[in-house]
Amino acid sequence: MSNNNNKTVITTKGVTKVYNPKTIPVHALDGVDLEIKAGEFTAIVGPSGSGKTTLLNAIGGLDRPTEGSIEIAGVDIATLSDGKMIEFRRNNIGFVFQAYNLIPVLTAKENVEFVMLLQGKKKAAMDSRTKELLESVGLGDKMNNRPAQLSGGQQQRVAVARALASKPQFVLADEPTANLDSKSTANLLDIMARLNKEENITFIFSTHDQRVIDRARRVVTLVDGKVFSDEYK
Amino acid sequence: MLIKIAWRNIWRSRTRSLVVIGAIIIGVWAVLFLVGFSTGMVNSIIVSSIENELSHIQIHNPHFLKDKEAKYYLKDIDQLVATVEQNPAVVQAGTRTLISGMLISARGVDGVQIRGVDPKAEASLTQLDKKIVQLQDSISDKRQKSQYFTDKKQRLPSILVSKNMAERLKIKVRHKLRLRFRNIDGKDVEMGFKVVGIYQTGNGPLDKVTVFVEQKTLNANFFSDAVDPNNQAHEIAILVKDIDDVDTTRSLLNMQMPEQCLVDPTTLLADTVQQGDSMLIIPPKTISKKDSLLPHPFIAKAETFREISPSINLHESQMEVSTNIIIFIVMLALIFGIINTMLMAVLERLRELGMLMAVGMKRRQVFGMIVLETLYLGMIATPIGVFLGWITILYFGTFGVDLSSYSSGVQQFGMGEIIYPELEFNTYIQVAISVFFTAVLAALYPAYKAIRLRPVEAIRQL
Repeated sequence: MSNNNNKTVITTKGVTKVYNPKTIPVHALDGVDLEIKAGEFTAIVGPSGSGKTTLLNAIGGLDRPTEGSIEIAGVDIATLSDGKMIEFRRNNIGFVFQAYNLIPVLTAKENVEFVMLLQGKKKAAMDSRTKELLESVGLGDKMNNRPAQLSGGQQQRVAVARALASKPQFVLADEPTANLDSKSTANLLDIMARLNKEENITFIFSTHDQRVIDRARRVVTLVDGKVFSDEYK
Repeated sequence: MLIKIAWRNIWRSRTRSLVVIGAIIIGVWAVLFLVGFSTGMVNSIIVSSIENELSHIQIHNPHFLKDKEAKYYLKDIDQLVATVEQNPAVVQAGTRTLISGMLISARGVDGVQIRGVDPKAEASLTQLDKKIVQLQDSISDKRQKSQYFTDKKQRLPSILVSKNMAERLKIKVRHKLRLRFRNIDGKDVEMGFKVVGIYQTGNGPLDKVTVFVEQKTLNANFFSDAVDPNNQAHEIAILVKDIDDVDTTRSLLNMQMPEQCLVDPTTLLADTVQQGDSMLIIPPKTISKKDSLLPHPFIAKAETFREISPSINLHESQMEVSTNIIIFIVMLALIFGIINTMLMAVLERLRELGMLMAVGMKRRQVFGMIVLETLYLGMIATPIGVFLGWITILYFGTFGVDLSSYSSGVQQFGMGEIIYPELEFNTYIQVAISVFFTAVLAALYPAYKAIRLRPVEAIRQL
């Protein structure tokens, strides 16, 4: 269960997402009601096309639902303009993508610094946070390597460090282990579990990966865009 | 960080960036060379007009300028020349007698302008002696002394015809031909001449119609009844030390003309102005405002080469317009080249740009990054293009661009066969700034395209 407190930080009410509403409507999400509490380590699972990524994108403000509302830390994100949403994401949400999506021209250190730079943090603060994060993901010696010089697992660890750099309340990870081998997966999950505990950051994964599901403390299963089951371990 | 990312981004696809840089370099170079070459062409027209025909300043009877009628001549030319030569800016002054007439040769008849010249003065004014391409053998040693019109063994007076005319009328050296013209009294005069030489100035329109004869001979037959025929002429041609002083010298000369010219036109009495006369002696008297609107009664009027030949200004403006059109086309090509490349750079990075926006990069920052990438390309390429343009103009400005293979065309324009491109420093700056703004303009569309992306769709891209 959740760590320090049981305060609800994410609430979705009747979230529906319909693609191509005027031609061939596809209901990616169909009235999803969910409450996520601070410090949870949650996996959203389900078969392909069940709406996992769509739900994650909607929670992250990358996509707007067709119907329903999403409240994050007391803010109804539908009320935010595009610019405010970008700002909100920058300060509150960290993303980890399936394909890592690091900036290829920047080193690991610069990739982690990037979001802090957008936040306008001072250099000294950035340096220490970057060092701390990269060391905590086991890449203290790879700080000056560019993504192309890192393995898939290492790149995903940099992505996790980047997601945490802005000290977000939540990390949304879309299939973070899909491209990783078992060892890298275990390593990444250890790191995320530790950061979840140490920094009380709420982690929400969308995943197929049984290894991730096994480590999650709450598993929400989606089928055809609806919540099929919601279990705490 | 944005600056760093943008800089590194342009080197992600090195070949593509180098191609764009190359395109901008060529564009800048082409524009600079084109402007330099056009300037050189206009200068060549001006220099050719000055050296072959107009000199810097000419003095005429003001009516002659309007009608080109030989009856409007300058009297007491020696005094006028003396006045002109007193001006410190003047380096050379010479007189010419100019008459329209007919040239009659064995092969045909043609209208010509007969120029009575003093070969010694012309040697300095137009370097006519150096433009004689073929000279009668018996007088070839006299070219240096500018005495090619003088041959004591010769019964007929001498004439120089142009190469163009010689080819058209099948005239050769030693041929005899006749000139027919009307003298100052309106009587027809026909004189026989012997062709002693053939000249070519390179100024097509001039060469087509002009023959040169000795001024003394022409004056004796044209001003036949004058007491001193050699003290009259139609034109004083003047060279000044510095072409930039032309306007000032012209104004000064107009003030220094003989006393009647110093009179303010508003103080002249209307009934004393004799229209059409070559010599007006006008006593200074106060007249009404209405009378002051009469034509300017100067007996001699100095004008600059630009005033005499408005076609020079026309050439300049035509050249400017055509150069601007070509610059516009080059810039347009440059714009599309940059748009194409930057659009490719944006489209192949959709996922990355989406990610940047997902993690908190604002749209204006993404916009700025794309524009900055384009500016970097421009900032690398423009100085190289300017440098290459400068080197090229320096080289050809010294050694010239040889257009002799197009000689008939360039002569039609009154240009020399060798063009020396030149460019002012300001033009380099202007071109650099124009390219800079062209690059900014070209960056706008790809940057706009980038910020129109929705992060979620961009991330979904494979």
